[in-house]
Amino acid sequence: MLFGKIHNFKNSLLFRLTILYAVAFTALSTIGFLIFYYRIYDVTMERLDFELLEKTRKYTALMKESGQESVLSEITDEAESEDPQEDFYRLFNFKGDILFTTDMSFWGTIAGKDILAKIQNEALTYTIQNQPFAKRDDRARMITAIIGPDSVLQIGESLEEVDEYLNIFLKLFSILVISLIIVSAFIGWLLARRATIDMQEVTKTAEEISSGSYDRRVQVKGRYKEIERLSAAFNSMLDRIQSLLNSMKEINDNIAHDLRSPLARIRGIAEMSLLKEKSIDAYKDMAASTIEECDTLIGMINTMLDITEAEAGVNGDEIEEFELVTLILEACELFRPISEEKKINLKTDLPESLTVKSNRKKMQRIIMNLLENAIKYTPPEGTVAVSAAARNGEIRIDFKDTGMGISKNDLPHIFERFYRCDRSRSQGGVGLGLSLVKAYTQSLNGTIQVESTLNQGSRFALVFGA
Amino acid sequence: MNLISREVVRAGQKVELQPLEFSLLEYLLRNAGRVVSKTMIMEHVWDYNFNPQTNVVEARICYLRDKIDKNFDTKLIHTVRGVGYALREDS
Repeated sequence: MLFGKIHNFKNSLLFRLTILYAVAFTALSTIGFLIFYYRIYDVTMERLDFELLEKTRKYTALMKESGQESVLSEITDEAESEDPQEDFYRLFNFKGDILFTTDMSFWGTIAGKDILAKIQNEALTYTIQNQPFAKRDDRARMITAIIGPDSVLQIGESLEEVDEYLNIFLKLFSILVISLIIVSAFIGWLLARRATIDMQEVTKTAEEISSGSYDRRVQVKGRYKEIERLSAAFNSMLDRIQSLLNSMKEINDNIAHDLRSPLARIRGIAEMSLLKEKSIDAYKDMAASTIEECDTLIGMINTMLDITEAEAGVNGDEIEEFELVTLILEACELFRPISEEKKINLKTDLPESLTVKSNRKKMQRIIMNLLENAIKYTPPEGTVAVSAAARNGEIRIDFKDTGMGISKNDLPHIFERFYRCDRSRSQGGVGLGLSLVKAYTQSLNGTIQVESTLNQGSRFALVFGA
Repeated sequence: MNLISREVVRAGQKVELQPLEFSLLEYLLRNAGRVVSKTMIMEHVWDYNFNPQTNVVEARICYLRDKIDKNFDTKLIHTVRGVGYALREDS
């Protein structure tokens, strides 16, 4: 359990970001410190070396001008003014005989001849090195220089002081770097937490939604643009899912309801036929009713499937060129008995010819459905007018009626599956006609518009690209 | 029924028919004695592969009956409820 928690924590973005931040910060400050440290060391050594070199130059000049005696007395004077524990002076000839030396008991022996041999081998006049001593902790910066034909001068200066202040630097920087690591880890943790806390909010909401509260939304007002956009995208996705869920639920409810009524009627008929003996004509009548109810159901299911297929665009439509005017006139002719019966004036305003390249069967059905609706919802003595025209490379077909109209509340919903306005319920039908019209129109790359005034009439306009 | 002059005569009397009524009668005659469904009529007579909600076939049959059967005792066009229509001489 605990191990799992630690494992989870190790894999969390918060932990990773914090560590990354701390490591990056530490590495950068350590590199900065090291550069600084070695720069200080270099400058200090350069200054020391310059001093030592100046001294040997002075004695070289003195040796040349006044000889060994005056060099000796000068060195003695200078050595006396210095602390023998901090500086030492040695003068010897090429054979190694010591001509002068300060008190070396603080230091120990130095292999003067070996260094001399090295200088002569490499044809130098001097060499500078850090000389360690067995007796002491500190080292000395030491110059060994040939100052005359047979004299070698060695001057050493203790590095104790230099080491000391470099040590102080080192300690100071160590403290600084350690505290920087802690501070940077903390700052990194704070930053990462601020970034992830909003993400956790999104996660929390997602978890709540998974457990059933579909109306929950993420707080969009985040501290960071990225999280804000994530939240907004998340919310709009949720809105879409919810509206899809709602419409699916509605369709389901409607299907269930619309299937139930005819099925109940069929069951009723069958029950009646079993209850008592009837004449053969009565049985025939029942069978016919059953067939009619079944036809309604089959028709409904087929229309549903047609809509779904058109919306999915599964089958590529068979496109052919046909005469639209003929098609409209045929449809009108088919409805003529019904419009005459209702005394509806069915008018057409069509050009001589209008050829379109489209799917004939679908177009037929769109026009039939719209015409049927117009006639169905227009009271007797009313007018239904169909007009078609080609304009600006588009073909527009208008269906205008003087029918009952559609209220403003219903208008946005009329193309939804199974949607029926309250006043149209008495007219029969299942509320799929307009859904099919819309699905077919869109599958033929057309658009459908509707405008309507209650009790005055409606106008459905189809527009297709030619 | 004369398909070329598109004239229909019943018992010596000429019957005036609209084009749609003419093709409907032609289809019924070709399937005389058999029952044809509304769907079959929609598809074969008028080339529609669906049935509209409004009963356009029935309305058309009514018109045809008016012209063919109204003035005669023997009815030729029969409705088979739930299934369709049939043209036959018996009742």
